[in-house]
Amino acid sequence: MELWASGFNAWSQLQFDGELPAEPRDLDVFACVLKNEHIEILRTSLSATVVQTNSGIITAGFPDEFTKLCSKSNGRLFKVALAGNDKVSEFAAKGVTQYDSLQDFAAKKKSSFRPLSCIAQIASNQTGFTLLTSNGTVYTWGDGRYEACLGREVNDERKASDLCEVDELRDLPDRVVKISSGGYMTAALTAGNDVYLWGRQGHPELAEPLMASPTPLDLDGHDCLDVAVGMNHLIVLTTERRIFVVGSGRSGQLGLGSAIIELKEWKEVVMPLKKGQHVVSVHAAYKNSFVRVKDGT
Amino acid sequence: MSSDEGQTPCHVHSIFETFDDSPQQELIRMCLHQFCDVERLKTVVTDQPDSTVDQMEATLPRCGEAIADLLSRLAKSISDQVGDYELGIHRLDDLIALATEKFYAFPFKDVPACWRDLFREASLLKFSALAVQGIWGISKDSSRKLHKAPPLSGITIDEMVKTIDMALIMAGPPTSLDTRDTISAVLQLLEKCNSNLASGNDEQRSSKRRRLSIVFQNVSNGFPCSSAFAPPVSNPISRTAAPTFDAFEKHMNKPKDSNIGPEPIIVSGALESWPARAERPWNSPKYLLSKTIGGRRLVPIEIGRSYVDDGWGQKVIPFKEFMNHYILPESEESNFASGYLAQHDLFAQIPSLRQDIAIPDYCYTSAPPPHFSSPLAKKHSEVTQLEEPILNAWFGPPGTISPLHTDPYHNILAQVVGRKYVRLYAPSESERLYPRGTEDGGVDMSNTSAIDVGVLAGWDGTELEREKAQSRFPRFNEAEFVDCVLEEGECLYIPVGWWHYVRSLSVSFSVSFWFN
Repeated sequence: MELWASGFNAWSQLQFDGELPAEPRDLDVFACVLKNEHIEILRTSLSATVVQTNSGIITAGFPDEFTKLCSKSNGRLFKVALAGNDKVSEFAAKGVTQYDSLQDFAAKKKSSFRPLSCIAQIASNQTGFTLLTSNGTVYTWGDGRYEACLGREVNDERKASDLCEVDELRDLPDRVVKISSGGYMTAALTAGNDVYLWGRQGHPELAEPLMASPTPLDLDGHDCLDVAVGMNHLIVLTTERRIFVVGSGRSGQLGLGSAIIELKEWKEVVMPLKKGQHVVSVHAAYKNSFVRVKDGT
Repeated sequence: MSSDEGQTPCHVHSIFETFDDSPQQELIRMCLHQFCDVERLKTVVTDQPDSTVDQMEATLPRCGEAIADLLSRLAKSISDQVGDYELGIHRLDDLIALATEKFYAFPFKDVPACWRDLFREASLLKFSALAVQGIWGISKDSSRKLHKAPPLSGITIDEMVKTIDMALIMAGPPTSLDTRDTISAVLQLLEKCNSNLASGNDEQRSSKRRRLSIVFQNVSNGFPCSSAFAPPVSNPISRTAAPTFDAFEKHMNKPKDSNIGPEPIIVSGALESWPARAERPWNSPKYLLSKTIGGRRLVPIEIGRSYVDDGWGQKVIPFKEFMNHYILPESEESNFASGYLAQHDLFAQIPSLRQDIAIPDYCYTSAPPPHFSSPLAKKHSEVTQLEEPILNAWFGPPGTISPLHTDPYHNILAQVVGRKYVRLYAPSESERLYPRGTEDGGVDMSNTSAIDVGVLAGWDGTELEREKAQSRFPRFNEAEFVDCVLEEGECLYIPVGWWHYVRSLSVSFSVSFWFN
């Protein structure tokens, strides 16, 4: 298996081996950065990438305090999410615990606990959190100033800061199987290969494009196998194993070279894969993208 | 431009200084020895409202070790002018973008100080990098290295000013007084580099550069005389010739009518000693451009008729552009695009302008608490006691409007240039003025009235709009007010909690002094 990456690399977070340069450059096209029989991305942060391989956990870049803290207990990396406003949420078998700040999280000083079972995944963006249960229910909570980023109604009974269901995802033909969040946008992927998006791309105060409720993504009729949301870009893998990107390319995160600063329409990225190789998943971190590639067999 | 002389603070002169330095060499030395000093970066501290001096801890590490490490590496690289210049600038832009993202992620009042410091420090490093671009990569042991620096181009000066002004506007001035002094010193040196460029003292000047810098040679000595519609004054506020400190204090604390509290009053003759009205004239576009590095300094501008209107917005533009687009056009009133440099602490940003004015003594009188008749009295009395008055500049073309609102402080509004119509309502009239509530997104607008005074008075809008407003706000007609045209050289005292509507009648430059 191979891990390919493109984008922001100020702390060499895209480099897993070899001598580290004093002044690492961003990658503006996808390049293979790691080979191993098994590769799984455990956590990405502003300055580090943590992956699980057959040879153990490998970290690239400069691990931040939060990543180090989470790495101390096994399996925690998956279950904790840190928002851009320093709020932390963590799930366990019995529910979700919220912390008002990193310091509170380190000191185990929780601000609230919400019982909930069968939690499968948690994601965060600049000001909010999204949660997915194994039966496909999606919940959001966060900063009420950016109501559209919650993808649901906000009122006295359903406060922005309280964990509430995104109703409009309830009666879809297929259940939601994955969520991804970044910047001010969130995506939900269904078992039927549809993607729903809500929030806004890039700068939070821009009027457009704004989606206050989950909006199906129409990618020229393509079915989607995977989706990932970065700080201000999106990356999608179709069932035909083609990759499409949109948004900011300032740090190379679109993998389309240095000339594209801002991409308003979706565009395909073609990676120079060898015969028989195919893409199995896409990931987005702060301002970079990762793609996992498998050999044909 | 000689007014800059002698204002460089003494203690920023360092042992590195030699007397034959040109302004540009002195500027570079200051950047390298102050802004790029890695030890200084480690000790950047910021006041937190709830911390005392001994509790202060270095703030940049709070952005995370990775960021602190990258910032020091960049400082070192600029300090030695080695490494990849373009990549260094790119990384500084990355850090400034990251800090900006944090400004939006937190509600304004909760943005951790470390992100403001990161924005400012990354900007000061970028400013320094731009300053040394001409000697980047030249061997270090050359003792005459600084003398090899080609003169800064107009484009580089623009970029340097933009970098430092965005930091001052977005992140605010630094806590460290030394750093503040260095910032004003480097800007004054940059001013000299700019005037050398303009007057052609530099040997290597190009004709293109000269064209860029002489745009203002043609600027006239005064503002256009065009004026805006002047509302009639119905209930004139009384005028008094500069009262004594005690008399003013008595005016505030012993009101004629205790049910109303202290009342507005116009003080004339209190600005006579201000250089801004004499030898350093604010009514001279040329003077103002000279104080802003030939108009290159950036200022925040409000665009649109009034902050409650649709389509209202803010942008940050060079002072020169503000003057050319919004202030100087000699055209009919209706052609004035409405741009207003409003409620901005221009004096923290450009300290030399602060020398042109003086805080009126009246701001140091013991001011009464908010009057009980104000529905906002409780809220206003929770405002922190100010150590020093809060200064703001208000500079705009004829026809700017501040909609009917109240402030949580007593105010001395000093009219330095031009005239303004001001209408005031006592706090006890509040219920007839229809204060707004908390609006979408949780923004508290209770200090602003839903009334558009201009429409209801028949000065603006159509007859139909006036009728609609009348039926929507039927009690507004019963509200009693006082009004005036504040003339150049006069001050208006606005007691805390009084509703005021302000409309400029000419090009106008006022300074407000808030105190409590």
